[in-house]
Amino acid sequence: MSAALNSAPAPERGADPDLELVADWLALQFLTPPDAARIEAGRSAQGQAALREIGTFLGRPDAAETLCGKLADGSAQDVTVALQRRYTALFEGIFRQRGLPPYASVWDGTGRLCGPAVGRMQGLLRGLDLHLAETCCEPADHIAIQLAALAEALRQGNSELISALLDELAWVGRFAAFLTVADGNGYYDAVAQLLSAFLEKAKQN
Amino acid sequence: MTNNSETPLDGPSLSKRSFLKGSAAALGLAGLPLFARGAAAQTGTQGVVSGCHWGVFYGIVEDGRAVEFKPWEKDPQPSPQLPGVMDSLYSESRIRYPMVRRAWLEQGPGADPDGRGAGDFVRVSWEQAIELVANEIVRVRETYGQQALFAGSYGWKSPGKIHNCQTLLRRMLNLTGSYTNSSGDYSTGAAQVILPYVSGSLEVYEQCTTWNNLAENCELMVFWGCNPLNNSQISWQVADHGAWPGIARMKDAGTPVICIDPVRTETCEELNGEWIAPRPQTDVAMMLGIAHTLYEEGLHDQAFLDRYTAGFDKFLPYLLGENDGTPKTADWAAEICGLPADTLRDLARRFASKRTMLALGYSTQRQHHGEQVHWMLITLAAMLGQIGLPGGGYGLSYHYSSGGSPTHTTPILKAVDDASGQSTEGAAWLAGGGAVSIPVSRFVETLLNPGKTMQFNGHEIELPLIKMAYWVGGNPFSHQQDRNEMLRAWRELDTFIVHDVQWTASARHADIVLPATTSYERNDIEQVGDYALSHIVPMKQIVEPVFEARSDFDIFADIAEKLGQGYAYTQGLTEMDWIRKIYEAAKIESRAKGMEMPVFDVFWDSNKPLAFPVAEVQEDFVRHADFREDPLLNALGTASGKFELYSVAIERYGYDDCPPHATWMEPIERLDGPDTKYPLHLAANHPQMRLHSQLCGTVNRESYQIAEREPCWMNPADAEQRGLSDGDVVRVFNDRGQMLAGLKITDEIMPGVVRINEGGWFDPENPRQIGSLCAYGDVNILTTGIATSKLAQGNCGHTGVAEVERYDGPLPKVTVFSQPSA
Repeated sequence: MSAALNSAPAPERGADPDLELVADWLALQFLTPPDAARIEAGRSAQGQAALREIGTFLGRPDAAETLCGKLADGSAQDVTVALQRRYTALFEGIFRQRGLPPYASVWDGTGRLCGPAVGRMQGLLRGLDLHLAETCCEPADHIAIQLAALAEALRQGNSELISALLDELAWVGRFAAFLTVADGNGYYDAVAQLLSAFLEKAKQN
Repeated sequence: MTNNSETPLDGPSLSKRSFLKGSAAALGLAGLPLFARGAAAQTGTQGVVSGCHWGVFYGIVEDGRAVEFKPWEKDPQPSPQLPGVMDSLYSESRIRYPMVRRAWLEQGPGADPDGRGAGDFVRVSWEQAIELVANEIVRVRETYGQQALFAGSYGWKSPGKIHNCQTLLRRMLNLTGSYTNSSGDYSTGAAQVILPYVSGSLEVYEQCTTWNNLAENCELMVFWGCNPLNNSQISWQVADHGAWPGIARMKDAGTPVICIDPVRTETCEELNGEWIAPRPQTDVAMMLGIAHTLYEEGLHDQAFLDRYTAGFDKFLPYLLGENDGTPKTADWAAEICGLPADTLRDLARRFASKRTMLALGYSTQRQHHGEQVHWMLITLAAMLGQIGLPGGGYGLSYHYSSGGSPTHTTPILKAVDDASGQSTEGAAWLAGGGAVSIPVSRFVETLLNPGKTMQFNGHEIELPLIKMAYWVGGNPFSHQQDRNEMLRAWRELDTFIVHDVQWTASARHADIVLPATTSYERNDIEQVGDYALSHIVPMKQIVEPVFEARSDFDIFADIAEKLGQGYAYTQGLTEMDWIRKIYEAAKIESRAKGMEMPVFDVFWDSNKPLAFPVAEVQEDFVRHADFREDPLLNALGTASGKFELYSVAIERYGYDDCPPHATWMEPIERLDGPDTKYPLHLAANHPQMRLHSQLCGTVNRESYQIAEREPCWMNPADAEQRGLSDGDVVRVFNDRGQMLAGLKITDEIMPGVVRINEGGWFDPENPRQIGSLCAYGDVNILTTGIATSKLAQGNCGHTGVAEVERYDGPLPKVTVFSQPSA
């Protein structure tokens, strides 16, 4: 990240730093299919412990336990392939089963990608004094961008923007419910449960 | 490519103690490469001019996002399909990243060919994708020879003189080696081959007598399988929609209209035409019956035949049955076409007594022995003797793209060429090129029969061994007939590469899929109207490329660079350099025509199409008037310089399925045909709310789908016979395959015929199983893959019969459009 970020606005209030971290971790789950390094990290003793801490923090140790189990179920290469395949099937929408595109516009009634949610998110990013990096090819209503923006808002302690971003994430409840149905008892079902728990906690914070 | 390995945003100091801060490193959470500091400038609402197959429009952009495609104010009839055009930009089925089929990536080319279409793709970086493609081109060429790479990629690529992806593909391949090409097209595959023998030119893509002239001079307009008010929504370049004011003039003039078609068309409806519905595929017999009546009653124009045609004397014995014992009387024809003989005799008399224009559509020749239809129509028109007269004769291009809309005085924009050294002006897709060239619809036959000798238009082709197909700007899993035969053929490929904007069936069946930009994410330049050529339009970029899409130009530039020909491919020019160069060449040409175009920057910044004038003589253009006036000075391009009603050249070929004069031959199957198994003819028409398969994956589908399936029109009598109700989900099947459809019962279609528009996206219930039920409704599962004849080797997309029954099984979900369950 650029050094300019160190000049971000001073926080209005103290945010829970664990929420920020979990928001970033959840964003990463949805941003790209997992690569081998990420799988290796999650399989390590420290990684497994960290996942359990997240589960405990969100009050969903069962979901974290599922993640740990899925990550350890087979060789690292097999797990990587399986989760990449699952990610593509679930979020890239090109298979027999219906995909679950991780974009607000698809779920908020617009009926297509790049709906008004993108414009609203661009406005919120301006409020955070951010713009999408040139290396980022996703529209601003991608769930990973919304979660990462929320993490940044939490870091900045900007109550107004935190509240606005949580409003923008209202679609995620339905998305997570369908993700649970689509993934059965899989890795992304567990991620969906942690996502829902995170949003509840963030609203209460 | 969006990745997950860059430096994250770093926040201010924490105000609370973090319990989890050790977790970040443990989980490899180095950070998210999503943001940079600083607010992006907000832009106001803008209208950006561009063009597409459906017309000129303004892309309305708010804060970098397109929110509406608004028709150009001078468009006489904006296409109702335009909302779908914008939807294609942001479609849920948009291809977002480079993808490679896992079996191909992990096990190599040719692995698990049955798995094509089943899904398992891996997202890769652009760098890896380019390397895979370049290496595979080299491997296939070195292993199997240059011809093993098929780049005869065909289809309705987007308009524009720079981003013609098919030309760009061949440019890259010509600079790095060679390939197998294709010739011809699917629209007029039979007509475009036979017409040069008959009238000396392509005809089907050439201007016909203008609507203005028809309104003033035509006394009887006959639309024979011809429906301009549907098909003129689109153009190969940018549509001008001139058919609408043209037909309005004809309507104002009160010209009597006859529509010969199994469907009561939009054109028939608008002009309150007299609807005559013969059995499909029996047009030649019907025309022969009319021709026989003309001759029998002395209504034919012998003087015209003597002066302007050759070979009538060899056709006449056939017409009269002197050489086969079967006079082609109205009664004989009536038995075949299903109309009363008196109707045919009446048509002959009316045609002869009025100034009559015979307007023939393309569908009539997309059938077994389709060459005969256009030949017989010209024979009939020659007997009427009105060719070259105002308001009379025949017209073969009223059918689409506003043929008959007067041609303006304009320069012709050049285009990026394919680096073959051959001219690509005019109908570029008709040119050959490459190591070998095969008729475009014979690709499946080629895959299944390498080494076989094929007859084609008077010469022989040895079908090459193909191991790799590279497809851009097209959807063969829509336009090719007999889908299940095609699936078998595709098993022969090691590698299938596709560039596209949406996950079409072709993309789903590919090994490497590269996301291309739409026209609305790049700059280009094009002319308005295939025949009108009324304007030059700046096709300006409306939005930034979405997701990881790149232009075909850039993709091929990278591949060419990888293969050592990067500079030769780009010539060091950027996209805007090319556009400026093409515009400035046109500017010089326009000066030679006495016009002065503005300098490029003025044109580009004007944000509107540049208009050109139309001369009075063009407003009143009459097809073949110059030939009629002086047949020696303005001879036709045939061997005799006249209309050839008998071809010595075709006689020499000795083809058993294409005799040397227009002839009725039974197709392999037809409604009530002598050996036909199934009872219903399939009318695979061009759809009203999409362009072939384009826009099927958009919001437009909501305007026509029935029970989420492609509609199947059926006459009430046929529905009653089968106990079917409006809105039923039906199974349509024959020996070639099966598909589901939503039933629409209507008396706008004749009994014995069902209409299922071509272009519905193929959605097999089990992609690994050949013959699997298509859940959405791709009619080309049911049509035949045979060729029209040895002469043209065209496709027979309108040859097919089937049965329809209610589908009572568990309904498979339509998933091809990748909608979420929400």
